[in-house]
Amino acid sequence: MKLFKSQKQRPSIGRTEALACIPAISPAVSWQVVDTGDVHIEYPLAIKPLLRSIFNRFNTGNQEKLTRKLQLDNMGSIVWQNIDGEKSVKDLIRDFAAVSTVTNQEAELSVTTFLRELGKRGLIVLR
Amino acid sequence: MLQQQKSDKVCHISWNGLQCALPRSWEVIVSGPCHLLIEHDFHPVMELRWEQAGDNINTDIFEIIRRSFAKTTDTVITKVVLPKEFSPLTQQYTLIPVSWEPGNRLNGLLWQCSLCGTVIFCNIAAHPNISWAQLEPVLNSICCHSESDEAAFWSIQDFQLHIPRSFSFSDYTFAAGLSRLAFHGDDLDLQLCRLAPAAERLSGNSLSQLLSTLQGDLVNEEILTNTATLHERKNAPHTAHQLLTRLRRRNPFCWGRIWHNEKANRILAVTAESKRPIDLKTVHSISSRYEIV
Repeated sequence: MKLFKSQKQRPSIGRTEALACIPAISPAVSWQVVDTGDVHIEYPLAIKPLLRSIFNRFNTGNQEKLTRKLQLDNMGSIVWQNIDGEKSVKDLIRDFAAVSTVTNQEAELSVTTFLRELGKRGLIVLR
Repeated sequence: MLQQQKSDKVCHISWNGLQCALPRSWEVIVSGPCHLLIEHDFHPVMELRWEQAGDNINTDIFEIIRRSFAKTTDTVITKVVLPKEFSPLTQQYTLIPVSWEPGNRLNGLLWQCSLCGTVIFCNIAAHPNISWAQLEPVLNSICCHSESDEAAFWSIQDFQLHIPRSFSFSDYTFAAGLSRLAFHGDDLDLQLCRLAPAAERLSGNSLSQLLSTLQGDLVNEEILTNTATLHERKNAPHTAHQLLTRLRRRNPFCWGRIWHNEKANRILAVTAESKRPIDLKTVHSISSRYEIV
């Protein structure tokens, strides 16, 4: 039904522009490397305003922020630790391809899918 | 026939009947069964499309392409003058240089092989660091027909294989860490897989577990070889199971081999399924010619 269809057209960018973007870790995110070498991330839970107001109404005593924890695997940890706010997506792909000895095409697929997942959770921003 | 050769500067690729030699730093991306995208430093260099035309050797291919463009887009395609950088190619091909941009800038080259009738279309992209003169040797190396009647040569990424001509190419996947080619022929469904990097894959799974993931668990499994670097198995289904599997429109006979190439940090696997008992000689011969280069 047309009524319920989203009218907004999202601006799309080409592959070249997307690869030139520079990812940076969101300031609200805290992370650490554990003994196994994997990265542990803790990030604030994004709740819709309506749900938040209901939650606040029933939870007046506890004011601490709701967070979620995420543990990255070995490959994810390599990419995450390379995100320094200076390297572009293209650089991250090159580094990942060199470390994991896969082709650039495979590295591009892995890294872009991983960055998309991080972006959905609000863990990184792209500049 | 071109064979993959180890060279610092050039690598040979062979995909679905088309072979060519490229600088090693260029990346080949498979976009379709007859469509390759060639890139350098994440910028497209050129795009190759081809079609094995069979008997239509003498048709006006430019007219066919022009009509096809007019039907699908508003673009008008015109013939242009061949730039001098590509003039050495005229010794080998009858080229039709085409343009669809204002100013008649060269956008593509079109030709038909006089021997096998394959129509090849090369869309040339404007790359910031690669000149037309650098493209000329690559285009000159294109070969669309093979002298060998025994086996078709395939070489892409870092692996190569020879498949008997009786097999036809049916499917492919190029996912992150998994490349898969599928063929069908001689009542056999064949899949050739390459997993990378092997060390990561084997950190949590054994070779037999990886083969089960690729092929599924087998009923009445019979292990033929099981070493640290190779695992081979087949099944011996009883009559009732064969009947049941056939009713489910699946192949009752399965065979699989997976091996670890430690030096290259890759895992290669070949699996086969058939309605009839699998001839191990055929699948062993295919496996022995499937390798990392």
